[in-house]
Amino acid sequence: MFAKVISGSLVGLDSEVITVEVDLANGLPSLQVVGLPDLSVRESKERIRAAISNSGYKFPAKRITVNLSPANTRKEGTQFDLPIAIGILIASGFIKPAMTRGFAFIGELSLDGKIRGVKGALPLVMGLRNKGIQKIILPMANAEEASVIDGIKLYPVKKLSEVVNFFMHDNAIESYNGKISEKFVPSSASEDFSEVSGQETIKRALQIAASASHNLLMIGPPGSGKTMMARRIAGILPGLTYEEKLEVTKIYSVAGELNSQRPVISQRQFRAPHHTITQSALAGGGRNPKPGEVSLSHYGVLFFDELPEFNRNILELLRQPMEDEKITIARAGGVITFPSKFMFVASMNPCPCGYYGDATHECRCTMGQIHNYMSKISGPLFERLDMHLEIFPVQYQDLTRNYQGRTSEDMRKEVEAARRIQIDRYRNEAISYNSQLTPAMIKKYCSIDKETRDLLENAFEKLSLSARAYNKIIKLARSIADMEGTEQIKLTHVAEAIQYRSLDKKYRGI
Amino acid sequence: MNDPIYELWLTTLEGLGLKNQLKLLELFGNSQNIFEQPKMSLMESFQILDKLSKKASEMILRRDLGSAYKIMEENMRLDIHVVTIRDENYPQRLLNIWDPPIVLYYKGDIQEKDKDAVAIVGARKATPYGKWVSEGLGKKLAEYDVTVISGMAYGIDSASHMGALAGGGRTIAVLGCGPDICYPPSNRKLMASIIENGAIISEFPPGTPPMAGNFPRRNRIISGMASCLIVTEAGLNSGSLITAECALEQGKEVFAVPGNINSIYSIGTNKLIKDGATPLIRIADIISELGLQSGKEKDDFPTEKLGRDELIIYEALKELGYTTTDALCKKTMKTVSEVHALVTILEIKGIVETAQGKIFIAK
Repeated sequence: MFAKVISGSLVGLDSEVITVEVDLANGLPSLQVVGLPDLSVRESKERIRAAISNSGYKFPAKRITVNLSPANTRKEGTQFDLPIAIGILIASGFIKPAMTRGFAFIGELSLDGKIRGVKGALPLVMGLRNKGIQKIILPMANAEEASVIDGIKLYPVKKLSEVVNFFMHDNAIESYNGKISEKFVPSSASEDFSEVSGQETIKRALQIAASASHNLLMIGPPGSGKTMMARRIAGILPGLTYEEKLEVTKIYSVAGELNSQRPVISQRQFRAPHHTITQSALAGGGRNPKPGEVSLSHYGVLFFDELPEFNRNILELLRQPMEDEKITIARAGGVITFPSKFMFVASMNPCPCGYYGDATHECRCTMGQIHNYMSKISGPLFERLDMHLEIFPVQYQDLTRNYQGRTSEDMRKEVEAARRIQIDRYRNEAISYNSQLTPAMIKKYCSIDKETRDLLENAFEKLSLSARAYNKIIKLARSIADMEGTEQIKLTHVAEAIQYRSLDKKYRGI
Repeated sequence: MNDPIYELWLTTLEGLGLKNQLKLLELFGNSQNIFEQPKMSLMESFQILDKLSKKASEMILRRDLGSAYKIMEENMRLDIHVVTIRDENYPQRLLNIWDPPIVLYYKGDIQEKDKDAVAIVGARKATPYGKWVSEGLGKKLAEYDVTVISGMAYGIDSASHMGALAGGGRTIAVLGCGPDICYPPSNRKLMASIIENGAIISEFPPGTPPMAGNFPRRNRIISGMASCLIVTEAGLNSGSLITAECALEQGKEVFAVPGNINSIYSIGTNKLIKDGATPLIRIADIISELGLQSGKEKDDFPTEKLGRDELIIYEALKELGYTTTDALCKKTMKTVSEVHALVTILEIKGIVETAQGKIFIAK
């Protein structure tokens, strides 16, 4: 009495097909799972026993052996509950083996026989489809999430008995056919730039940053609106393509961050981890690695509020994913690479108490404290910040004035136009936007005329800008020119870009 | 030059304050005489000293030059020079104050013309405006070959030294720690160029840590060495007000740079003006006040050199004062990108300055 059922197991963001083999033999009644199951799989025995009994079927009093094949890879997750239960029911003769041919099963059982959603349903279904599986029985809770993939028939179920009836009596379960296109339409962002009064300088700068994914730092006293502005950046980034949405949804699926309110990810994400975040929560980790914040903000915005409060090792950790746009994690459970292509936004106060430079509040910090505070962001991370902006609280008159600022949508349209120019320009290069330009590419794509070069040289001398600012200023000028839709970088573009490098200016350090 | 060993001995005796050191000097003429006095006459002199501790009297009577020789060795090793009150190159202005330092340790060199030096002091925590004024003053004075004295602290002090150095002039820093110690440590580079183009001076022997109590005491040397004192920015509790007090006691003229009355960074300087300090309303004023020039300068920047748009920004800034890009956009009805570009160009022309996100006129 042997049975075979198809299921899947997660490997990073991908999945592999797992054959669940069940054998019933005479002997002392027992249930044994082999094939490197981890704790969540081994515990499934008790759930399966109770779920089968409580659904009204007889749990066979046999010596039951379950093998998860291939037996040499570690298996994790609760999605094996359903396939094992079905395997037992086939082996004990409730279901005819021929009926289940061509089906794959995923789902977690509860003791009363209900079927619960699992983590990583999207990559699991995707992996099964890629291996030629055409029909899949999965929890109702995961149906919407999985429905973004075409080329596979989904049969969502709520109870174990539904599945058994389906195969025993041909009680057809309705295959799921929600419309994918509807789901991937981003709902309009709840936070819009039109709600921000004044702050035109910062809005303009953020738009430039968004157009080429420039990493940026905002410096300002408490209450100046740093966080408010940062939250709205994701809303002015260009919309995600189908492939990008799928990629992000997969990450969220594996991380277990999807639910019925948010079955798929259709918008750029804004992630703002608290400064007490651990290294593995940021980079990703666990015995079987799960994506961290750098991957959850893939194609979105990673925001560090109060940058100097973050531990230095956390800031150091950001360098590799920022540079490589992916992060590789090696753990006992395997070596996994997660994508991490995000726009980095940070904010900080000008000093520990927050009021240094404020005309009306007295700053209580010593100059030594201010120095220490500022020096936390120096070094390698500082090198990766393209823009530093000073932000001030909005004047009371501006708040009360009936103010109608530009909407995020208007701003996004301009950003999208600028991105199109960039993607078109770099179609033969390995990059897609200005912030990724290498020094060699800068020479090729960012030519400036004599007059502009003179201005830049003058600026370095007169404004005592640091040398490392040079390439950053050129890249920013490139983005500003693209925002205007002009191919040649003009003097005014460079002149404007210089204003976005406030930390390079003098009077900061003394 | 006289051998300073006895002065070193006298000034580093444990428990003997500067007041009593000066009294002993007055009694016996010079330190060597003190050292060689018979015990009886020394004991007698102790009667008229002010609260002389037992420890100090024992130390005097012990007549041990060991630690003085040690300091001499340290000085050799660290390239530190010593000038005593008996020496000819001792800053002559210091002889006119009532509590002159008996010994000065210094790195670099002290020159004859340093006697006409001007002291610039102010708060450590200063606004970009204050730093800009100080830098400008330093530079202006350097142009007229006037040495700038300050304290090498953060903020105004550093900006003043930097201004003088940028103008190719001499500058002297008076420290509240040993002349071998860089305080604050981040000013290491500045300290090196001050030694190169002036001097680091201290009345404390090498190795003395920067203790809080040392700083008010060194302030009298800053004002004492200078012909006049400028306070550019000071809050209500700033140490620069102590320096101003010293200067007044020493009979020096005090200048103060006025600030907005709602700025907490200028309360101290505005109060100085109220109390009778001379307000300095243009950087160039200091030159005419020193009698170096007639003071016939144009009041305003020659605006005809500017383009039309640049002029609009300049005029708006004149009206708004110290302001942000946002306010400037609203005032001139220009876009952020236009304003940013124009401000950069004006900045390069040296007409405006931006710092910590704010813009102000620099000329």
